[in-house]
Amino acid sequence: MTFATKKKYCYFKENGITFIDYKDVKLLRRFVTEQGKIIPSRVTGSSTKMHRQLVRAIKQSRNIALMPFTSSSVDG
Amino acid sequence: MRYYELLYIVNPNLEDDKAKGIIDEIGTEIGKYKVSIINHYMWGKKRLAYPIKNNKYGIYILLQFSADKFDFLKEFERFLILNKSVIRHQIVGLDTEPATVEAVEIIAEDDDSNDEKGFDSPDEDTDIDSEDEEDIEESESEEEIKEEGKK
Repeated sequence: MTFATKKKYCYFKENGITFIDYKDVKLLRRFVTEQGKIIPSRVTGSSTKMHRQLVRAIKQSRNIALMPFTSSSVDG
Repeated sequence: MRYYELLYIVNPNLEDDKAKGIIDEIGTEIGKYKVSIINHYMWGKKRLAYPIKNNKYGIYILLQFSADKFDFLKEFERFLILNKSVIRHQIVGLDTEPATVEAVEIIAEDDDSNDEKGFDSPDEDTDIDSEDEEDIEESESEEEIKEEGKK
């Protein structure tokens, strides 16, 4: 029995993004769960190269309080 | 030649004039070293994702500069840590030369992005934004319940 799975594509490749800015919270929010955890690339489908960049950007963004380490509902 | 970007958060309780004073202060401090400043402007007052030193909001200021040597960064970072009005800072290296931007434009753009429309997945933002509304709704519903009870 086979399951029909939707093919995942790298969001960055599709949109021609080559550099991820840590200040672009709007973009980074797509790759983070509600709790603020980074979604693995096997789920998002982003390429390894871009995922490495993405992870770095999210962590930088967390350092400067643009994105939460944990859900905002927890720490108010 | 390397390019750097410093984003720092200034205490939100300061008045606008004082915040501008800090921009000048840091501008003169970094001017002591062999550095050419590309951009230095206020990015806007934003809600912090988590409280820093009991501050819920912060004034973000962005400074982009280029330098031949980077040995001064340690000294400069020490200055930033000792500066009491700067509550958080981060220096990041850039691969490409940043474009010069006029400060006014950026602040205007920023106001737009703060609106609810700007976010594609507004999970937390709607939470934050709707908090006040929810409070109102709750208080209203409580009143309703009370009224019903009276009836």
